[in-house]
Amino acid sequence: MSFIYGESDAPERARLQQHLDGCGECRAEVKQWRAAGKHLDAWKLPKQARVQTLLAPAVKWGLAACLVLGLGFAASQARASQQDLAELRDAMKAQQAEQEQTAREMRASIEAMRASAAESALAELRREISTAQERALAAATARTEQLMTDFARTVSAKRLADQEAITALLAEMESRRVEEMREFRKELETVAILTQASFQRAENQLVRLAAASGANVQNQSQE
Amino acid sequence: MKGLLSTLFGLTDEQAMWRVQTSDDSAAFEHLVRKWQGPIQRLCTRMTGSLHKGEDLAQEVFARLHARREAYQPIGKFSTYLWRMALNVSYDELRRVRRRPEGSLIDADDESGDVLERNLVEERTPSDCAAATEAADRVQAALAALPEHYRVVIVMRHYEGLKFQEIAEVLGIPEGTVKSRMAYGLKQLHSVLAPEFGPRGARSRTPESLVL
Repeated sequence: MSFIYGESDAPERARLQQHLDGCGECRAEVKQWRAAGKHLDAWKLPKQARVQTLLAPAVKWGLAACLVLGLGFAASQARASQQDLAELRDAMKAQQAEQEQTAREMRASIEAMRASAAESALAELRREISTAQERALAAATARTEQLMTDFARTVSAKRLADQEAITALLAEMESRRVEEMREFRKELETVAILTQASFQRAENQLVRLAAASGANVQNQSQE
Repeated sequence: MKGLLSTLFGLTDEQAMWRVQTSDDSAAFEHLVRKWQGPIQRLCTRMTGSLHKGEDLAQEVFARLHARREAYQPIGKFSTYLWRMALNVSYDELRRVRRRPEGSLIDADDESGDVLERNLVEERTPSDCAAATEAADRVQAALAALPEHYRVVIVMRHYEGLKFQEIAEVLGIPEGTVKSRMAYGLKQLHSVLAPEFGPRGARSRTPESLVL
């Protein structure tokens, strides 16, 4: 059999060939094997793996959502320059609502992914998450600095202690956002790979994560 | 992360798997998937006789690979581990189909609906272009009729080009046993396929010349 599939070395081949020359029975058998091999060749499959079409809309949507989460302060930037602590608190509440909406929409996007979790979608998703995250982190950092500068200039809280508390609060929120974004990215990657049953679990985790980040905002704005 | 992909072309499977395991390196994982997707999909397709199942099962293999990355032990070749996983997944599917009693309603996600031994060709859609010749269907049917432990050897040696020694490692049996199963399998296939194809096998590849 090694002979048929080219696995025997030269001396072995010579020996076998010599045997075949003299043995009709073995010759017939080899002939059968070769014929069977030829028949097998009739069943061809594509060389490249067949990949399902990319879930472009769902993937893009997921990314947009990532950006919104990462740039949580973007929407409230204008509002954060307002001078009243109470107004800041309101702005944070609005942001929380926004994030809950995003979580809902992420879930829908994950549902869509579940329907056709293809490897190429996974690869593209990974690439795009990576880019999106980098952009989000960079933007979030820049915004935080801007925000804190603005705030320091315009906040009307009389006591220095209040000012410092607010600044510290913003910084802490931002770093938490960054951390959650990292977690979120990891979760999203995991989700994209898991099988159907696991999608449900991962989804629940994501919802909890989104809710938790919303809850953080809520808690801090009440201090 | 950036620029890592360019260094991956020289990466061995074992090195890539090491990175996946120790640092969750998604680029390394992607490299492995791209490299092995085709062969794994083909093995699963040929073992189950269905292109669609082959795709689904291959997805399952890579999902498992990722899910179990922490438990992976780098003993022996990565490919041996992967082939084994693909076979297990294929056998599970074959067992699942067999367990369904005759006359039961057709499964929503099973196209054929027949018990595997009788089931020969899944309903062909225009997209199954590669297997869409009668000759291919006969081969598919003949292989499906062959018991699994002969079928697997033939699929690995003849279609995926693994050496007998490699097959022996994957299956955990002696090389001699692999060869004798191969011999038996080819002989069976020959007796099933030869009469249908006529004395000269090549002739039957084009539809007009099929012997009726």
